[in-house]
Amino acid sequence: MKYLIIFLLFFSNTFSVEVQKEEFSFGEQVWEEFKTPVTTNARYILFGSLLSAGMVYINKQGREYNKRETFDDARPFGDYGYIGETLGWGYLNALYMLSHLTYGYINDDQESYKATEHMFKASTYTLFATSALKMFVNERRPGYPEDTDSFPSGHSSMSFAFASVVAARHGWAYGSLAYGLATYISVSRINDDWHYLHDVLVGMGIGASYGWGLKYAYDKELPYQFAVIPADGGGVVVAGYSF
Amino acid sequence: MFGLSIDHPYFIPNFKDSILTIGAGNGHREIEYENASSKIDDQIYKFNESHLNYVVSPWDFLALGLRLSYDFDREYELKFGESSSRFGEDPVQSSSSGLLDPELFFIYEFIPFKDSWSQQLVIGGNPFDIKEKPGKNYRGGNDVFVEYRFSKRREDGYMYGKLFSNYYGKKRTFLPGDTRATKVESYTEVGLQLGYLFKSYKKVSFLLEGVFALSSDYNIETPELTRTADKGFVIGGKIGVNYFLSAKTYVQVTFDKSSYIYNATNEDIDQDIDYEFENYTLNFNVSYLFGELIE
Repeated sequence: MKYLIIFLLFFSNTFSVEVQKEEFSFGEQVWEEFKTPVTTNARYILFGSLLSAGMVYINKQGREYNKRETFDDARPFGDYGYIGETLGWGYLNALYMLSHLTYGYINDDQESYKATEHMFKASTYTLFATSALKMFVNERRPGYPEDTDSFPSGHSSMSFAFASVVAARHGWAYGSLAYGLATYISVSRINDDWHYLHDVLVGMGIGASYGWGLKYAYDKELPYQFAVIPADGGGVVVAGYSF
Repeated sequence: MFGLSIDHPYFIPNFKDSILTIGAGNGHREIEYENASSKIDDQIYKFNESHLNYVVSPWDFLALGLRLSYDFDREYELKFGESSSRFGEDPVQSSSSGLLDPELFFIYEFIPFKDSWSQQLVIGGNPFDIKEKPGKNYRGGNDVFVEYRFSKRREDGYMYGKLFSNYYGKKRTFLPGDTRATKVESYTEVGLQLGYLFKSYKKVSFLLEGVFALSSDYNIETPELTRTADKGFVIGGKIGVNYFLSAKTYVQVTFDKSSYIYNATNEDIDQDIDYEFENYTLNFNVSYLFGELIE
């Protein structure tokens, strides 16, 4: 995995080419959005998290320990890690999307639809990237060695995708609260021995770089493709793409 | 460079200017190792350290820094508690002094996205690895520090903070007259520090800081004991007051306190081990700016 981190560090800086184009096919748009962690200024977030994770991982050098699950004092959240375990399954992301979709539908508010799309895409790309890495890397969890999905942390990536979209769209006051919650969720994964520190750092970087990367892409007029059109007795959800 | 006052912890001088800080501090570290609240052993370090910090800006947006430290009196004591197999033995004691390895750092200041913001990237560490000698202190190992700093100017001061990632290289020390080494393996810390600098008065400012960090792989082996820890966390705080003697000179007094709590992994799983470090440091500094004020 050392080589994977070094490769990602290299990739995040080398292929950071910003593409601007008027018309995108669906596939092109998905690809452009998927690359935003390395093609926008979000690359600095990803680079920073990979650098930190690299420092931690390289230092670990395969050290193994006699795990002691019973020691509570080294767990900053004690027995309350389960709250982070529960929240980190994407419920915050789903709640945000549902509330903005409902508000947008009732008030015909386009900004709410855009926020829904932003969160949907950030969460989806984050989930895909995280799942792909979990399948590819197969690192054992510190407290549950029979499970090989330790790297990277999905709870950290999803919660930081959520927090970054909130910060990007609603300012730093709400963003600070969301980042605080995301940090709690992420640290709870180390607290409960589900993840190593480097797993959590990479997860944070993936989620945050998608949240901010998509924001930067929208600022550069990469189009939104999602809309809800109110109609009598209901509405129509439209996802558009061009051929 | 972007409007930070000289008493700001992240201040860097203007192009071709520099700032010099000379100070001294008194520190205390106690490492407690207990089983079910019964003490196994207790290590206490007391030190008196003087330091010199010099930051110069030879280029726009890029500053270079050098930190030299001299530990002129470090005392170490290891006491065995009731739960130790060596309970009743005399404490192990030693004292030492010496010039610690110099630290170098580079500070790059970004063009801010808003006028009231300042952002910096700091890369530093201890690239030297002075050979250890009995009775001589040294920092040892090759340490690397990476920080992303930010600061926002407000009406009554500055809100600031940093995300940091620290790598501390492997260190070896010898007690006087003892050929057996004490080894601390390399370990890492990643965390967030937040602070506020209150500048409501012309000559006086106050600072308040808090830090939370996660640590991993803190392993130590001394002639008397072995400790391994896969993970831990750090909580700390710092208060300080700055007093301006002139527009370019100020004195600073700070007090910081922190706790490190580690998950000891080298004991039987059924033991209830507490492995905790308690640190505090009192520092007194004088800083002088060579150059123009940029506020």
